[in-house]
Amino acid sequence: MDVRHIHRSAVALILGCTVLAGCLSCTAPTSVVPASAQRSVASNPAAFLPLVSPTPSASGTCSPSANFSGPVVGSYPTKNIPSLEEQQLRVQQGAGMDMLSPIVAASGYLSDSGVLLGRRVIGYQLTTSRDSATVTFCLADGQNFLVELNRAFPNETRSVWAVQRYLHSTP
Amino acid sequence: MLRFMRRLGAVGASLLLFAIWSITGFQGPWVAAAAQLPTPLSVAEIAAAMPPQSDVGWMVEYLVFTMNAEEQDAKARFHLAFNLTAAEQGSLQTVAAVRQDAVRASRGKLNAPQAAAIQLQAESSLRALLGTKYDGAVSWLQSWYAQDMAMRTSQQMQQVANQKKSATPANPVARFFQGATAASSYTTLQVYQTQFSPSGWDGALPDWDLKFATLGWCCPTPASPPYNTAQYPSPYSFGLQNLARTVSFGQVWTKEVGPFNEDDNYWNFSSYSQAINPRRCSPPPGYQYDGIPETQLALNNGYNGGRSCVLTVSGGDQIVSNVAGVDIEPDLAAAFGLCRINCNSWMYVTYTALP
Repeated sequence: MDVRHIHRSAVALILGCTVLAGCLSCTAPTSVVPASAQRSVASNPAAFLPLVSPTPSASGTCSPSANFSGPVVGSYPTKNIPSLEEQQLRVQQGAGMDMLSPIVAASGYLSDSGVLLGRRVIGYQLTTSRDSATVTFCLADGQNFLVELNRAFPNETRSVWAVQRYLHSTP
Repeated sequence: MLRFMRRLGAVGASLLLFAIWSITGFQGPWVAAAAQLPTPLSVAEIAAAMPPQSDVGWMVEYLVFTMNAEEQDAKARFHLAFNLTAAEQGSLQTVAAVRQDAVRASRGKLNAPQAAAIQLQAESSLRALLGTKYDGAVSWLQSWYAQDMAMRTSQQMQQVANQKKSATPANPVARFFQGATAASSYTTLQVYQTQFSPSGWDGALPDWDLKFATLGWCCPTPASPPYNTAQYPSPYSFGLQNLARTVSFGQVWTKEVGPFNEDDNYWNFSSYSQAINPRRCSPPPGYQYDGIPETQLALNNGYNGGRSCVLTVSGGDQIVSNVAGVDIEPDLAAAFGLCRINCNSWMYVTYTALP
């Protein structure tokens, strides 16, 4: 290897490391904190707090089956889920916020019923109207669950979601 | 061919360096970044950054029902400053309790008009109680509240800064891609505590995966922190201690989610970006106010429009009506010497058992 080749290799190594370091620094906190955001604290107190953009959770891939059987009628309370009235009370007190999401309410119900225990959900589909929602879960083992929910207290602007019934796919 | 081999050697060297860097946990960039963390603001700077609190009812509730020594002392000073008789002191407590009840009785309708109505009711009750002293009392409350909250926030910032210095920053890339289980939580933070449900000994932190994992349920979201790993298996609990450090509970189970948010793991500093930890509603690590619950910033600083965060699938959008970062059930609160349901306090919460 002559000097020229060593030189080229060194340049390639430096370039490679530079690119690598650049990529790594992309995830370091310094890149999330604009310098202007910190500098502005003293001069403009209102500007220092960043607004966080909502990030929807990934739904994964979910192509549910067309054939479902059942249904199983939902009822409350369950082993770990209190009555709908108690859930609504908790929401008013600032807790139990997961029950305001049809997806979380549905997955919680199926989990507490035992049908999702030990099984991995790889995706979901959600359709909602004002007072009802349908959530379909796709499991890693190929089975699907279709859960129908409605708002337990439709006159509330922040009503908990209640599972009315659920169906499961047939192989 | 030779030239290709030499180029491959350079690439290989880069890959080797990358591997070594990975194994050592990317310490270089992370340590460097930690050194650039913003300096905690002073009490005066925090107070200056807070707009005057306009929710009179909340200030009265905070004055009356916050059971820590500083706030109880302030309550006594307020009674003296405005010459409140014992009966008037009782009426002041009623104003606070009615405000709390109104928030609960809103049946979940705490949108902006409802919040304004509750606020108006508290104002008119206080005006009826204090008469000509009302304006002076509101000024007193606003001044005290700003100083008190600035003092509490400053304490929180200092705790965060101290723990940041002593902590080894976890590797969020490894956590995300490899399910690594390095702890990335602050050890202990001081947050405001409220109560929920009629009875019980459990607690709530604003992360619904904690609740799901603790109840043995399914379906973690596709995000870090990793739940149900061998190093941090569920069920999950947090520790709770009063500020006087006279009472503590090592295991409060996270069987519920709240207060107000379900996606605000403010104690977790693995979340350098929402791509890595989409569960963070409050300002991420590196920003000022990291480690402080979103509710506190929403109510005191107008963060996120004063509302709870709308993240993932929560359907949030509630007007935040207190600054709580932890919710506990009344039996547990009573064990700390707090009155059931109404009494709140600043407490130390320990997060080391969380993923």
